[in-house]
Amino acid sequence: MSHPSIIARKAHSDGHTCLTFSADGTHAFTGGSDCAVRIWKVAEGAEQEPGNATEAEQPVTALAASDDCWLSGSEDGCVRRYIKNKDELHGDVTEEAALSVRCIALDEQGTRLAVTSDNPSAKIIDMENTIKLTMLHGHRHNVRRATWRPKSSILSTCASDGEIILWDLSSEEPMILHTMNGIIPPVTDPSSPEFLHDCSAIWHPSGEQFYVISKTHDVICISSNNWVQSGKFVDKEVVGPTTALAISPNGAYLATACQSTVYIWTTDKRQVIAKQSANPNTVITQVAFSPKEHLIAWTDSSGNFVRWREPIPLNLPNSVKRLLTATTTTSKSGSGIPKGVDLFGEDNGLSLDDLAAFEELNDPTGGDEEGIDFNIDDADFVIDDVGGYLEDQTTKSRAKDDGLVKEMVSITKAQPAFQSGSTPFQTNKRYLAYNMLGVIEATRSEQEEYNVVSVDFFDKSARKSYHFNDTHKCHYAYLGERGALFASDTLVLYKPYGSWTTSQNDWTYSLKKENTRVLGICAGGMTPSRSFKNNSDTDLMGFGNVVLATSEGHLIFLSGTGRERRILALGGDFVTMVAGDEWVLVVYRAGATTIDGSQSLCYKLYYFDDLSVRQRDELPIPKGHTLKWIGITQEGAPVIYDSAGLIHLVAKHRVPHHATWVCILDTNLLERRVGKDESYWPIGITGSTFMCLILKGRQEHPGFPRPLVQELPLRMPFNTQNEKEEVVERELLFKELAMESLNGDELMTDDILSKERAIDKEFVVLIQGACKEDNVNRAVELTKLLHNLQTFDIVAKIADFYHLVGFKEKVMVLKQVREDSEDRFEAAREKRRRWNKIDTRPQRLPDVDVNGANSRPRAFQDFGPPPAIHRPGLTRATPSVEGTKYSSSTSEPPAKDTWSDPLAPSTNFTVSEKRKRNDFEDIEMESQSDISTPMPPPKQKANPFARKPAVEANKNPFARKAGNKTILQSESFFEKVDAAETTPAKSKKKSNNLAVKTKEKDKAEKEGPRQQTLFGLFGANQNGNQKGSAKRKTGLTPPDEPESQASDVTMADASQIETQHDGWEETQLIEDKS
Amino acid sequence: MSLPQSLRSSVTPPELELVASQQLIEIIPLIAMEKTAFISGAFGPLQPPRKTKIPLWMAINLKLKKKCHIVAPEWLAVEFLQSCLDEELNQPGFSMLPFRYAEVSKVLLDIAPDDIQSTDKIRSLLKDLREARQAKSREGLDQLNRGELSLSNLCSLEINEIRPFFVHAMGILTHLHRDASTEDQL
Repeated sequence: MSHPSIIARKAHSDGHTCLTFSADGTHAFTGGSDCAVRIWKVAEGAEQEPGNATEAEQPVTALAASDDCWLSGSEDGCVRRYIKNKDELHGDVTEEAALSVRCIALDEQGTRLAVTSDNPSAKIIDMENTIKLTMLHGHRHNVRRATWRPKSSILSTCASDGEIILWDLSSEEPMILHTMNGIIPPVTDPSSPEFLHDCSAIWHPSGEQFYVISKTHDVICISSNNWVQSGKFVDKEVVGPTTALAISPNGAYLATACQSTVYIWTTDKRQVIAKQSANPNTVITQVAFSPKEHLIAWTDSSGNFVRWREPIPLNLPNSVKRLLTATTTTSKSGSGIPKGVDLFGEDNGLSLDDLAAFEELNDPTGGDEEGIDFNIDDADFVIDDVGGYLEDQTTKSRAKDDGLVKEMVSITKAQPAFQSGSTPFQTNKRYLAYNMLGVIEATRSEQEEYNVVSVDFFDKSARKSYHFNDTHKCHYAYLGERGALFASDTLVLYKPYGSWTTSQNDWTYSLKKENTRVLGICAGGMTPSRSFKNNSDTDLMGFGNVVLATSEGHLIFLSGTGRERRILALGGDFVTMVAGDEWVLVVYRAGATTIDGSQSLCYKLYYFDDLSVRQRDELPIPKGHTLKWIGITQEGAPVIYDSAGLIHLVAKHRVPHHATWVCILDTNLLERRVGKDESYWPIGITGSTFMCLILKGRQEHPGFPRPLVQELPLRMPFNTQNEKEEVVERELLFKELAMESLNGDELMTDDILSKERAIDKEFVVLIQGACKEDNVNRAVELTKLLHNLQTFDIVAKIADFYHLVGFKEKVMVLKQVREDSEDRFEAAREKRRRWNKIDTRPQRLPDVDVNGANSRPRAFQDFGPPPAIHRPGLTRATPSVEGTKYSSSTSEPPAKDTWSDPLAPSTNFTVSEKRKRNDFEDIEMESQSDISTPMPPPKQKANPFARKPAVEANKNPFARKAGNKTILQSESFFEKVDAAETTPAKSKKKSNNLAVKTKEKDKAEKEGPRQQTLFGLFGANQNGNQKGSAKRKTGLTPPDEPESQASDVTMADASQIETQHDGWEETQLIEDKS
Repeated sequence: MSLPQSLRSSVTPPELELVASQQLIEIIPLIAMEKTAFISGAFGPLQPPRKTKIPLWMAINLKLKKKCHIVAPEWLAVEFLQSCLDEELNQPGFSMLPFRYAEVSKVLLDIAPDDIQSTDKIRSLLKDLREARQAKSREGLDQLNRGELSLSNLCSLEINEIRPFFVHAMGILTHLHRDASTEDQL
């Protein structure tokens, strides 16, 4: 650089100074209280000797320059014209009657001059014919400043009482377009220090807005569409009154002077990009951008003239190069403003956004920023597939915007993968995650060796905030309900929220394969019911689930403790994901973007427990827009926010494949949005509030320190104006969501009831409105939607009040219908179950279970199993019984085996062993085995017919029916039966039983004499037992043999022995019956 | 009244502060709490980061324990106060400020200066406002008569300030008037 960037020079004595550049930018003119104007050659340094024009008799207060002359205004009341760039006086343009000239302003063509002096009316002088004057009457106080709106004949004048008037001077007669009060500070005294402050309206070159210093000393931006404030330039650093401001020739930058420092802001994002301090304790009275050079100059109250070369950082387009997209959002509506393409330099057509994106793409190591900066605004979003980021591309897209050329060659740029709630680095800080739980911030250390990651929760009582040094420089993070997840390219770190000793549960997971990267992460889990400080809850509920998306197109599901569960293939380009209680919603691009600007994004909803896809659908993003954010509501429904400013919610997400997208808010229609240039950065949705950060201007990411979370009410963008109806429908939607999330058997919760009551109230109001309008059909329609029966009575009263007898009758009928019909909660539950049935059915598939399920209830509902408690009592019979019981219990396991093992030998073995014992023991053993395994009785029922083939032929699992055993055992049993049959009690057996019995009897008879020996003993026993068993049965199954009941009466006070015998006797009886 | 004369004069500012602390104020809680019933009503639930309205006394309590951020009320901002001050200086009447602005702003500036933007400026503006208004209420002395005194938009602390003197003065005026009328009768 041949010149130092700052050139300062004392030019005038202390006091008000003014400054202007010649139209070609080669000369600068400064005027001051020393009554002189100095003419500086901009190209020369501080040592130059300026030209002087000393005609003024009082301090020079205003300067202006056009293509062919320059003008000065002085407190002596004269406006003098000089020859271009020279100090030769051409003549006086006008003379105020000894009133100080305060401001002179030439319009763009240099044909009209506005002059303001200490006088309530401003003057317009025709430069061709300086006698031709137009007076502007309208102000009540002295007019201080006047400025022309570029490319039009609108003049803005600012008076000392703080009034701004916009004049339309296109016709002969000046017209007042608009008057604004209370925006600029009223300063009446010319000697007060505030009088040095610039109060003029500085127009943006596009003419869409002007900038002015407000009463609160901030610079505000006022839109020319509706003359309301559309923005404000605020920065933490900039404190104190702003004294001067100027806009760059291309309109991309605004220079303001505040506290002897010059700040340069971008006009689109309203951020300070550069600053330069000047002499302290002086007031900078005027700032100006050179019209042709990359240079700013200013003069201050101590008479210094300072030039600052190349004030804009090199990475940004400079102040003179024409920017195509750096106009404001209203550029489309600003009609009549040519959007011609100026081809000045290499990067001419580059917008700031493009530049940023370009840098990122060219930076292979820039993983930190990658995937973040997706907020490329729609104007630049369409790119040329052949050209790079050069100007021809922009011209094309611009042409398309203008609707002149149909864009055919370009395709839509695919939206890269991103994490919701993260931002790129701003200086050295960035947000990694920002949701309803809290914030994860990363701060670069000074040497950039590591990042300091801080995890901060909103609810400080539930989880503990912490921070750590992250040497891996994670660039993804996710704040889940049960843990925070961090990821760098290949390494994943999960930190579950635990007790105070946090680190012991942490785990890491790394991708081994080369060239695979993590593209997105998320962690889901149930919302903890209570504080994390007590471990009880955490221990049971675990640490949730972790999902990683990799560049290979895989989704890796891990458990909360780091166990790898499954790798699913996504089948598309991953974009982003969000996890709820039991699911993860993955947004991906199935194919390519379409030519007409659609991102063609889809989503899948995976359930964690069975890794099934419950929903798959397209994302409702308008063409030319991108997905900005995805999150979950507090009620657990997924929500998205797109660059068009719409919020959609997934309703019915629990019903497989039936989810719908509901638009719940259009941020463009927000009331607060009117007259403001702001955007919203979503955080979450709670009930019917939209929690977001508000970004001013074209800011794309929230800055630091963390801004306050704002709450905006949700409002479905209904076209009808009836707000009540919208409220009711929205509340119904949320009630439905709450109903869906009820689990299994729940009918309702208090919350739902109170919601219903509230909705009913709204309905009543609507019904009343309908009655008032005599719209009975509407009233009936609304009445049908009522929830509570009591509300019907209220509606009936309303009907009474409006003398709508017919309606009242209908209400009563509807009430009757509602009373008669099924409870609506149960109906809803039934519906929920029906929806989910598809999922529950597969769990019942196995045959074995069906068998067991069928046999079990049949057997024991009919006969009732003897409780196990009675068994020990068996010992009472005889000492030998006790011994046998013991032995029988030891032989129980093999007996059990027989149920599952159809092989005969083992059963035979047990039976043969038993046969060695006496029958009494045998029976007892049998009964015990029956008790321990409740299966046999029904099988026995079947058995009489299939017994023999079952044992011999059916050696398959179905034959494992315990029948084998009982039947084998029953050989000994039927011997007893034989004995019993001799008694009259047994004569009542059913015929089919008899058939079996006879068979078995035959068998038994073959056994011959051994049984005979025991016959008597058993017979006696059998008799008593029979009675006992009968007695037992009366308790359980009323329909029974009356005979045994009769005997029961006689045995009413039977001893323990008898009842104890029940245990086995009953099973005996069952066998008998079979 | 059974109180001795010395105690009868007026309510003290701390007492007014106590009264003012019943007012509701918006906070951003840092802890979660169910809806809880207090004597003065049920407040909550606290669900960070949602804003909630709770009484000032509770906000003070939570703030001192670092369990909430207080959201400064709309009127406690430089712009609003500046416009009030301008009105105060240019117009004869009192500007529209909340009835208990003095108490609330004092409490908030004391306990939650970190939640309010540009506290210094606000402090000086409040002081200016107070002085401007005080001057006006002093001017009101001219209009003092035995009957009534209407000073709309006067705030609680200011009423409290002028009450003992004005009441006394009005009493005297009434007395004088009565004397005059009796004299007339004579």
